[in-house]
Amino acid sequence: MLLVAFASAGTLLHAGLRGAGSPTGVEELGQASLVFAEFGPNADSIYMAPATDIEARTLIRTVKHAPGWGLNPASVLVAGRTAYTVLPPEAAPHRDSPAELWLLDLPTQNATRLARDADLLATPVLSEDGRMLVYRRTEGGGEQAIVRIDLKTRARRVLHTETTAFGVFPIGFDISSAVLFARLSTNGTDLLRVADGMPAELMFHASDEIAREWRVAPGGGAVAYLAPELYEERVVHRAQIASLDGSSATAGPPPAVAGEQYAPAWRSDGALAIGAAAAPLVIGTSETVALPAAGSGFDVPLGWSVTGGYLAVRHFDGTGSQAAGRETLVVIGNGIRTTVESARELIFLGWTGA
Amino acid sequence: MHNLLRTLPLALIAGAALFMGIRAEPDVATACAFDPLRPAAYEADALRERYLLALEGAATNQLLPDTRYFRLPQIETGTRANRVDGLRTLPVEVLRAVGWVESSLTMASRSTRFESIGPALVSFDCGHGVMQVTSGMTVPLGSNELPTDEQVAVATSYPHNIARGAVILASKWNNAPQLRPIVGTDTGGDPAIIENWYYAVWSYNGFTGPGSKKSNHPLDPMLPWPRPEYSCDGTQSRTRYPYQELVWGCMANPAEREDQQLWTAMPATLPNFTEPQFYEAMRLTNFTFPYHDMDIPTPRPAHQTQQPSVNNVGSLLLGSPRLSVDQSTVTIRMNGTADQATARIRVSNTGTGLLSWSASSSDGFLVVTPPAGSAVGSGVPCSSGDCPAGEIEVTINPSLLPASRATATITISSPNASGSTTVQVQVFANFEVAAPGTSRAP
Repeated sequence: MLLVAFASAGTLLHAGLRGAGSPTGVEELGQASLVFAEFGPNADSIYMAPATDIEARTLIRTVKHAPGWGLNPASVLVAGRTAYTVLPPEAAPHRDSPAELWLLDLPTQNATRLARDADLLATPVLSEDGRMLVYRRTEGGGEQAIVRIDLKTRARRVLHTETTAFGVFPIGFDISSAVLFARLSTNGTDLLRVADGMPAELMFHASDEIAREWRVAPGGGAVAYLAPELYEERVVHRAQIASLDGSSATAGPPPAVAGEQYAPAWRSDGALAIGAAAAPLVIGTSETVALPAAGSGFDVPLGWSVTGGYLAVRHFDGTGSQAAGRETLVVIGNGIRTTVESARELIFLGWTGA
Repeated sequence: MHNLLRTLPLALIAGAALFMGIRAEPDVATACAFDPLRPAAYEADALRERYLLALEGAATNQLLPDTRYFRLPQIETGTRANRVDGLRTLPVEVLRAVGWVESSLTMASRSTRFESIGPALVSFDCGHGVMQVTSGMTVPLGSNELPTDEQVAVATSYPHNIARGAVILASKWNNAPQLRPIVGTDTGGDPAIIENWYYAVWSYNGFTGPGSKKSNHPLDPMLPWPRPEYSCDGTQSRTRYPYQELVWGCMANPAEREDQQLWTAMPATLPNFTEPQFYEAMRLTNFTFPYHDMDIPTPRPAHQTQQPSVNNVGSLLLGSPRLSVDQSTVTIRMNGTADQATARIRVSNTGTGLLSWSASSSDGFLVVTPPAGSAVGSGVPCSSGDCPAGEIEVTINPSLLPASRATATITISSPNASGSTTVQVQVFANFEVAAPGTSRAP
């Protein structure tokens, strides 16, 4: 039985569950289209495919890159726009080479290079209204900078700089459009916010360890992430949720779901999908529902379609994070699972349409 | 046994090595050893038989055991409390996977055909050749700002390049326990166990922490998690993996060429980060120099290296090269036809094996391209490009020409063949030049 009563973490989750309805969210939404890239040794191909006919893919753009190094996209696609970092073909094929930051407008298929000094591995973040983009760059001396770009004027503003033994990386925007970023230090992981002209301020201490898979809720009122903890003599990652509305900034767990958990993904109505053994669980205001499971393996949620009819996941046929097995990109919707076929790695970019 | 061992004639032991001792390595890359020019190199066979054999030779210290710069150091063994010098061998499985990740086992640029001579593989950050050797290759370290013999050999000779890569990998291992942590606290830090090379391989690409631009930390939140095994077949982006997982993936999934696996699969085990003993070693509080709290036991199941049973690899691959040049005097006429404005000198290897050579000019007005290269001797297949000899193109930088007639010398030498030779260059540039604003005299 994968239905789990939702009660204990209600107060923390509430800020992320504005007007949440049924957690099932499986109404038919034929207009949703999955956007993804297929890795190629020298160029990635970006496709769009309707959720109802996933094999009817349309090539949107080819992105040439340094041999072996594919693009690194923003975690969500906003208003038909996505962003990605990529090593240009002429760059040294190393992870620390200066990467380019691109904005891709899907309706027009136009791509615009916004920067040539981005850090490849640091995922860029689009604001929910699609007006701002944040990325990270590292200066020669090792100083890292959180940089915001106004996508209308292309004006760049360095919001925060820091020389750190480890790193800072942007994760999203809060209710007031301040930029949220995580900081790794010997103390663990902290979440901070920085607004125009203001020094960065600590929101909360997320973990004594390395927290990961940060996802800001629609509206910026809450954030979900994974933090490691000991569970049955194993280190597993489990979801945490924190309100960002100012009333509470303490992370807490969502309803009890046993074992290892995988990346959280917020739905537009505020429900939250969390990867768990067998199938993702969708946590709503009153109940938790399991989505259709594969015969074996586990799912790592990637992102919901705009109105929540479909969830894209990375499906692994292994037994857990340490023996993940093979990976496929799967769309779950209308009670069925559809695998996006490819012999190559597929990189999720997001959803367009309804 | 490699086909190469069956098909190639045995050659004599390489001549006396000429290389100098180990030099200090610069901290920051400001240029590459041959900038702005690029040396030439020999690209071996498509099945990489020569490279694979060289990797086996390097892993067992058979390539250049008498040359300090290229000789494998003794590999330390033992745990933190009882570390002692051991044998001069390292797991060939690890070394060849590193080579594959670095260059797909290629010595020359992509445009160079197999079994031919072409531009050497040099990355923008000065990584050279099969092992993408960067250390010691970032600036010319010889006199008069010229590359040293060691740099010439690393850039142009695959046995030297692979041997140097093995030395660097070994040095990363030997950095423990003073500068790096140990894998194998429960197995005596045994270097014959492949899993125990986890930190050394990480260090080969940079022992970098989570969140950094060059992070290879396996728990870095910038890397996707979980990750499937790296399949090493060109279907997955490297963007998602720390360096050591690329190497582990290539050990387990041999590359294929012409429907042949290039090596035997070795499914080495990665640390299991759901086990507290491995996870806690990677904690942020522990990632602090000199990383003493990152020592870990051997990941299980552990795998012993299968030492290659090869002999005479050094003499087989290096041979006994002999330097020969086809001209002792060349003439360049700047006022003649286009052909006469360039001279070409063929550098041959009248011996066996692979000859590395470098060329330097006595005067700045002579431009020698490439500045270094390879020439193959008998028994080494070479079918296109400049084969079997290397070719030097000599041109003139007229802005540095001191007079309308000039003489200069090109010295061609080899780091792995005795002697050097010189070529006299005579330059004629009797232009009729008028002063600005005047008409030319009748």
